Amino acid sequence: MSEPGSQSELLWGARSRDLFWGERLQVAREFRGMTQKELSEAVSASPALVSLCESGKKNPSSRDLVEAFGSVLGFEPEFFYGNRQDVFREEECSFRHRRSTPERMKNKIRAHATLIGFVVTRLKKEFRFPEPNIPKLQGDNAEEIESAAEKCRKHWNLGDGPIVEVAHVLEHAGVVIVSQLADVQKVDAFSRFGSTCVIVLNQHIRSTSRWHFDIGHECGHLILHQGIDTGSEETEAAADRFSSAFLMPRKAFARDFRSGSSSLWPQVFALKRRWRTSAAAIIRRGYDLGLLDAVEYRKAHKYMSWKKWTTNGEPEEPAFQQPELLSTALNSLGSKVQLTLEGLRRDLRFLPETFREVTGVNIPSQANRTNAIPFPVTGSN
Amino acid sequence: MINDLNPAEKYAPLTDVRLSLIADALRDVRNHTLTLFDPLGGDDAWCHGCRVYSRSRNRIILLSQQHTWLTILEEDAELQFTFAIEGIPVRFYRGSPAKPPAHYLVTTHGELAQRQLFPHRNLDRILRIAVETDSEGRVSTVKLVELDSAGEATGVYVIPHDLSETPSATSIEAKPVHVGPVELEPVQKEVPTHERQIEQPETKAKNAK
Repeated sequence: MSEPGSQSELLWGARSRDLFWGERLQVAREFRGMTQKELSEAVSASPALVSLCESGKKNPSSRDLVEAFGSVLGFEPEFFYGNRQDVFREEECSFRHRRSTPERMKNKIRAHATLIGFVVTRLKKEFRFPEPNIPKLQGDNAEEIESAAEKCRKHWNLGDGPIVEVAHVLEHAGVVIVSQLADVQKVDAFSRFGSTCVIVLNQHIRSTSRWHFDIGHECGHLILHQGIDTGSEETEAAADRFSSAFLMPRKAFARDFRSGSSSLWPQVFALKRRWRTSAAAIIRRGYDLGLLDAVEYRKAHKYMSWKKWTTNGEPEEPAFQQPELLSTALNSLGSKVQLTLEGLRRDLRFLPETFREVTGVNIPSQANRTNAIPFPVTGSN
Repeated sequence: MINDLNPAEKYAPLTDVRLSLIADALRDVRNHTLTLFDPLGGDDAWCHGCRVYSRSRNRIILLSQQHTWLTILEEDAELQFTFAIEGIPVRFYRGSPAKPPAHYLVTTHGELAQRQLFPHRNLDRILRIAVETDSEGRVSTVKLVELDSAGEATGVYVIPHDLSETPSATSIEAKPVHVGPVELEPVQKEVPTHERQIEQPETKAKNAK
């Protein structure tokens, strides 16, 4: 407990003149997957007070309440007084998830992505990140979506061949891709369009071809659904179709599909090796483009189900590729720029464990020692 | 000369460029193998024919590795060799279009599979490439022959020479797109103007010394 006149008290004096950002409290709470009631119980306050603090209608009346918020949620008290940052709002975000995904889970992912946004905003002061370069295109029907995917490839100078490194394409367009959906298995991917564009992928998915499709799907949301509420069957189907058309452009893919082997499956796996998409996506693309009829499509699905590829994963997965932009920036701290990981953590006002949970990066213990505050020397000499 | 089949019209993937690439390969192999023929060493027409067949087969397999539109079909019988041009199955033989050998009139397992895979295509006829030779065994013409189920030629097309270098032949397969990682450069932090102004006199003084 802080004594009157202590360092904490002096800090509080400075803090109390700054504005408490309720949005930051909400982000921190949702990141922990807590309800307002749970947080209020943890800090021995009323749920109404927590609600008022979050909505900005009331500033926390005492320093110990703010410190308790920080302690429970894993942030330094100053976190709640930082600059007003770009909080990811519901209408800016898209989820690729199961219907059973609870709202609390979605809020947790959005809060996690917001915190990653804080990290990226700070890193942008140190590194030249690519400027967002995402075209806004119309996609109300299949033809418009096919055309949008072709325009998008043209916009990024990609030609019509198979894209070997899909994540790099998006990273060059200014999108930060991370795979940090810890403990969340009901959401495959998440994306946010705004000043910092982010795609978050589920690290539990071990299928590279599925990752590629998820990246394409979120890319579809970023391009087709800027400023549009997503989550409906229509927007999800449009993003799926975009991903399919973007990863497997109709003309080039149809040429390859027709030049296939005598039987369907060797042909599908030859296409999978070349186009780096799943067999399921290839079959669907074949059906969408009229290369397979409905009977062949259904038979193929039945076969995949019988082989348990839909549940246990498909064979012949392409080599796994991690997104690199954020990890490169974090790994370059302390070498390319003066700012260290520990310095970044302190600037962000995250506690070390929270920093690890948000970024997936452990702060080296040596850095902790180097940056440790020396023990004060007091004496009479 | 019969030339009543326009393959590109009836079978879109069978362009002159592609057919020419295959016909030229068959022509080159046969003419080259002829130079290896050694009757004094015991070579006869049978072993020459076997050698030409195996080498032709090998050449087409190699071509299939360079062109995605050309694939080799799986066959039940070991000595049946069928390739497909964008899914259209074709076999080759030496002889006249009017008199194909009986075993080349059989619809193979690979051809049947292609018909089932692409039911919307009109694959009820079989297609053969007939390699005709002169009295010395050198290739004179290479023709595409379309045969009905009774083995009657319903169309013949003389495959043109040396079209394989046409640019469209190589631009058919879309090249994979490689995108490297983003190279992150540190932001060049500018020295504040007032600091620069302060530094200038010192620099001048140092230079003067």
